[in-house]
Amino acid sequence: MNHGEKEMVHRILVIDDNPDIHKDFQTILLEEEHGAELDELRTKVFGDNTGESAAGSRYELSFAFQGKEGSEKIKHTLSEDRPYELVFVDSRMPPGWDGLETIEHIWKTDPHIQVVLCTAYSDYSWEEITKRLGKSENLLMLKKPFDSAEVAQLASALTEKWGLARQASMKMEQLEQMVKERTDELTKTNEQLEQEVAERKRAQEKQTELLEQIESINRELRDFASIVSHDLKAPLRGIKTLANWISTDYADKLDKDGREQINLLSGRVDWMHQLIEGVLEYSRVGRTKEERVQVNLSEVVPKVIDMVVPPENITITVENELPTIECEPTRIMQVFENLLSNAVKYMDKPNGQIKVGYVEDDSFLKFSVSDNGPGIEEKHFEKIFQIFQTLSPRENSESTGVGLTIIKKIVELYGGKIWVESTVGEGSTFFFTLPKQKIRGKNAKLASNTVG
Amino acid sequence: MRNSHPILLVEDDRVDVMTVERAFKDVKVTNRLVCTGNGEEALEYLKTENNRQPCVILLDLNMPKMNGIDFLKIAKGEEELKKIPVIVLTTSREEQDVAESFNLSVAGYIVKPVDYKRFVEAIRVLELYWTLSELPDGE
Repeated sequence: MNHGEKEMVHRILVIDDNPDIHKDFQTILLEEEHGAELDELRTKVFGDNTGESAAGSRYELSFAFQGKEGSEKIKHTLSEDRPYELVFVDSRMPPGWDGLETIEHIWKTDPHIQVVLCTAYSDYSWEEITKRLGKSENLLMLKKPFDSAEVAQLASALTEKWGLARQASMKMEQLEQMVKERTDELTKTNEQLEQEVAERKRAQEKQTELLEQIESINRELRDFASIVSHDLKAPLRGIKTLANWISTDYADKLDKDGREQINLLSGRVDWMHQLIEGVLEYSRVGRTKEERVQVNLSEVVPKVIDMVVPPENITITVENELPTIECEPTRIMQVFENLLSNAVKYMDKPNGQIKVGYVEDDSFLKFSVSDNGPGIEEKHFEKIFQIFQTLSPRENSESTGVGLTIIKKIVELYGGKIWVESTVGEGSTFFFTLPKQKIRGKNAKLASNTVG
Repeated sequence: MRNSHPILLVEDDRVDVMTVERAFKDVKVTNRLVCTGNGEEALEYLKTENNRQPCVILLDLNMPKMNGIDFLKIAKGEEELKKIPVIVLTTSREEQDVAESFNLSVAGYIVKPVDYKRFVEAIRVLELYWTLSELPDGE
């Protein structure tokens, strides 16, 4: 405790109109202090530790002749943070305040101070005292004439009491301070929490808003698909029909150039029609709902190969046993169909070889479709997956540049990736991955409701 | 078709009307073709007393004022009209259109072929079918 130094000296005030009394107190309490010095000396000389008579009892005495004077002293020392611990108050001090009045004033200034009321005879009854001062644990009565031992004991006990009370009150303050700190901390934490809750709420509102936006964009896309299918295709069909009629109805009136132009017109209409169908098909991926089932690719892929109908000079082989995966059957079939039909379509070798491969690692299933066709220049590796990007000349081409885009969309819907590796003149290999987590690949032999 | 009732075409696109007329000629459908430009006009024709009721209605879906689906909702709710077979003839492949049409009791749903020759084939099949099939008595 940082009051250590101060605690050692106990300040006592004596208020009495009789200077002899002052002297008596000085004798009693300072003699005792003298005794304490003797004790110390004794301890030093004889190394005797038992001298406890004056342990810590050192007094600083002050005197006042009148209640008012005493009260002022108390005020003054309190303001200097050197409070009196104990005051002896005489009950009769003419012409000024009597003992009780003095005590009233003193306690107004310092309610903690210990008071001993000294009476020559029964000036007041205890009832009278408590009636005027209220019940107080800080008041004792001392009857004159004093017994010096009694005074010494009172001084010792009451200053000790004052010290303990002060310690307790300081502990209390400390505790209160700690409680306050904790409360502040809690309040702060609470505020932080409230802020976080508010932030989360804002984030949620934002999320809801974004979801609504996405929903509305999706709706727009659906509408767009229907606009494309109705409103763009209708006039196109009209153009096609009219071109057809012109070429049949006016066959004899058209020369070679005229017929050629009509044919070109007709071809362009077919081309545009294919593009529109491509857009529609692309927009349907992810829009149409299909149930996920166990799909045994070992059975499905050969069927897709049959659908592609490879010409006689092209062989398509499946190199490994393919797994059973959980997915939408139409979608996965479309992936293989588009890759295989592309490989067939662009095959430029008399002996075409197309191979379907499969490997598995910790988290992915990796499929590949490789061919010994013309190959693709590296600068086109990314471009070919974009919609309407085709590397073959538009004239007389069946390709619309939608097939790979659709595959990419499907693979990405499953959380997978698609890419191409190729050497010009030697062939290309398209790889795509499906994350195991998303398709929960199971052993083909165990699957019961298998599509194959 | 076996009877002499007219066939009602509900179609707003003039080239499509011409296509049907021409295909009827090519397939030698003898029934008279009554052309109306949208659902409203078709209902007006059907509700006019002196007009002969058609044996079959060919209905486009995407039309101004009253589209094919709205026309079906009204026609299929009326005692006199709901027995007339309606064949949807449209450009739309949208599943929703197909489902909604069949929910409204259409007799068929044909997506207009882009190629005229295939369109003629479609009309030929239609003519064959409705010659083979019994039709409810008109009047």
